Amino acid sequence: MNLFSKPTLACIALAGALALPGIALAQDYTKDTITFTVPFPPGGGTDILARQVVDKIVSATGWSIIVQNQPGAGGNIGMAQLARTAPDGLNIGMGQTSNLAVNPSLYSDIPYDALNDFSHIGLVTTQPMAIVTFPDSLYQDLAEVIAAAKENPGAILYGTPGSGTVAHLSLELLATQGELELTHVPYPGIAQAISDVMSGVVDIYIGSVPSVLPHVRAGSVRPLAVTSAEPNPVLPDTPTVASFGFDGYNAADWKAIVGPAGMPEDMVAAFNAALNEALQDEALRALLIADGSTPLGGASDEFAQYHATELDTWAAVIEASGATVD
Amino acid sequence: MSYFDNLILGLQTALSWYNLLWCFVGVFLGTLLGVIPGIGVVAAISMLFPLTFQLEPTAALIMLAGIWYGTSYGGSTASILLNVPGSATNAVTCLDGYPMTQQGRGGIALLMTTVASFFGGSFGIILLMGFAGTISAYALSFSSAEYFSLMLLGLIAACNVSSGSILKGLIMVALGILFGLVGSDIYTGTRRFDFGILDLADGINLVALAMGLFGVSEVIASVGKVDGKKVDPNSVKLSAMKPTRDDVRRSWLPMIRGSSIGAFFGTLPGTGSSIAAFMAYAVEKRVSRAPEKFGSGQIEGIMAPEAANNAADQTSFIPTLALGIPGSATMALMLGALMIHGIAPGPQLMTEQPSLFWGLVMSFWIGNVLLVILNVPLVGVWVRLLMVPYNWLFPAVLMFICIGTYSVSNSAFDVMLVVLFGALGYALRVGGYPAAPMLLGFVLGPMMEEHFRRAMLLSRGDFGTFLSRPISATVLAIALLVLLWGLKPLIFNRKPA
Repeated sequence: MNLFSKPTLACIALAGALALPGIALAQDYTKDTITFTVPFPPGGGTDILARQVVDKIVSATGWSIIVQNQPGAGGNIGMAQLARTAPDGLNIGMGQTSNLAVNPSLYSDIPYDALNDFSHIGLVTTQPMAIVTFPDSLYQDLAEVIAAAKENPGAILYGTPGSGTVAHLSLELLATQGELELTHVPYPGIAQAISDVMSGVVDIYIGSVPSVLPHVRAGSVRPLAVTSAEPNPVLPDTPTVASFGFDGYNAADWKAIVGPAGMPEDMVAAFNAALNEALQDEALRALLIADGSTPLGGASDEFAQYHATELDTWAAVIEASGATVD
Repeated sequence: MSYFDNLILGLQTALSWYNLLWCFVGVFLGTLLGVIPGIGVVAAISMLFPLTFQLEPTAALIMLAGIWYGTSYGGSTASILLNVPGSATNAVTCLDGYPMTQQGRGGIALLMTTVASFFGGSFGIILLMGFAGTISAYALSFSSAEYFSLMLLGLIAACNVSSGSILKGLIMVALGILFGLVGSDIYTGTRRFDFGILDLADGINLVALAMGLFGVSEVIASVGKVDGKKVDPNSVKLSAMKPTRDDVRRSWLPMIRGSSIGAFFGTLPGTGSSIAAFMAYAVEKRVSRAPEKFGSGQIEGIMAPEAANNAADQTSFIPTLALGIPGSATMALMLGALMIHGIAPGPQLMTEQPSLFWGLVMSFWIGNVLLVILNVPLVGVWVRLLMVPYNWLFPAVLMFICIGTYSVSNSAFDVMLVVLFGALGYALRVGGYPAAPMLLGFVLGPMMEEHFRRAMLLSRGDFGTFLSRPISATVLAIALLVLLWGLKPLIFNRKPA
């Protein structure tokens, strides 16, 4: 039974078209319209990034691309639908760490094979998580949180934007490496968590950099560490987790363009070239960096290799933390 | 900048022709979508969201907000004339609004609900203007224990709303909670009651459930009737709208109580205008000397909920704009529109973007005035939409319901759910079970579970946390009183069989 439908509604197409000004007629690549699947609702991080990148690709190549939101089941529905489309180059989409690298180990029954059901086109960005605490917190830095956790196992409450999210698992990775016992308090997202973080109901919170950044700037939370290997340009004074004695610690949420498995190589190459060109655009780079992201780009087989490594990394984290859900 | 400088800045922003235009577009679309049953505000805003990428952020927000509070005005029209809530916030207005139409007082109901809407809206805007700046300390004292207690109060109040017995109400709330538990458990990620269907992993879509339960079941119920329901064109003429002296006298207190209740629930994340309308109705029914007359066209039964939902629409901007905490899916979309434009929602918004904040707030005044014009002198235009013959209207309504549901997450599965819940809704209607408490149970059940479990996690398993926190204890005490109040007729006034 096919529960997934093709998007045929005029209003969706209209909505997509309104969002993309100046769509030129397709010239060199294809006369047909390309559907770009975003497996999350409009307005979220993946959606905004996808629209920014697609915008640049469209204006540089003249291809006709419609961004289509296909949310549900943490992105798994949209990715599953994308995996089942014909590999004719007219269906691509935006995957990220959770769908392509985390969920395959977390869930026993996701309806696609993350590594083999997709054609790897290219990495778009990577973005760290930030660990924050409330302004009056006794913990001046991450070392003091760790010391408190060692002294009183389980006493430190940490908030996350949900169980099994990259943020949750990043902190589990920290706990595993540091042999710490922390108590997990999941929230549906930063919006629901922020008042508990600000009032100190939970000791620390881990979330994506753009989600915590406005609250950091407003002074309502204080950043303790970022999860990337290098400090982030938008939080220049915030040290990395690795700098607190967690050698090699590096956890990030990356996003990448994929298509269904079996796309012809010339099409993959054409999309990869368009992506890399778009990521050279200064205005786009500035937007991405301002959001705490690092533009990546690079060859499609580099992405495929990175993807395989990431699958192993997160599988190990999930196994060590016992976070498997079913 | 002083407070008055801010107000003037806001007026200047709101009165620029560009922002005025988008304010009008917003309230016009809001009224239209409110009048047409089946397309809810979340669906409407989701569909129009991409349009806002092209607008200036202030205009984008003014338009989205206009749709949001515009539907509460327009929604009462369909509730009163057709007994079909234009949107969930107006569901309770059907209970007494439609009987008024049957008694030939539909025009009065339309005028008076517009008055109530304007009154409630104005009340909400004044509170928003006064309190948005000082609200953050108040919100920080709310944690999971308080939210749980408040939602429990909301559910118990909802049982009292039901037109039948409180027992039927409780049954429906429980059924709603059961449906609400489908989907991922946020504490473990485990998927529950989903029969292995991936489309249920995020739970049952609220829009699908609401549209099936209220929209489709109404169509099924009406199709069977030979005559159908007709809107009498005379009922919406201005001359038919003149309320009696008695109507006006009986409307003041319900409007004031409704506005206060609405304003309160609007500020609480997770509650909002639907709950506010139910609560306002429940309170009116309880304070009335003749509660048994409710449901037979009592003007109090439309004034209080319509004042409440509009007050709540406006005050729901307080946590959204003052703290960046969206209280509902719609508010989350509005914050999404801000973030697309690179504006971070949060406590700093008022100081960093005063023209946006105050421009938006002042646009609410303009929007509310426009809505009065759209809904009183021009109500005939909207009613013409409702006068389309039913053999045309019903297929069209079903189509709009399907489009609206599909468009929320491009999911055909959700459209199938609409059919399922339409059938369930019709069965419940035949059995005399009220659907509104079920909807509330559906929305609040999973949130209560989330907050209950978080409160237990935070207190490390101590149930006392709900009683040791003063706000939570107070709310629980009120909830107990409301429950006893509702059970009173069952216990003390039981008539011999």
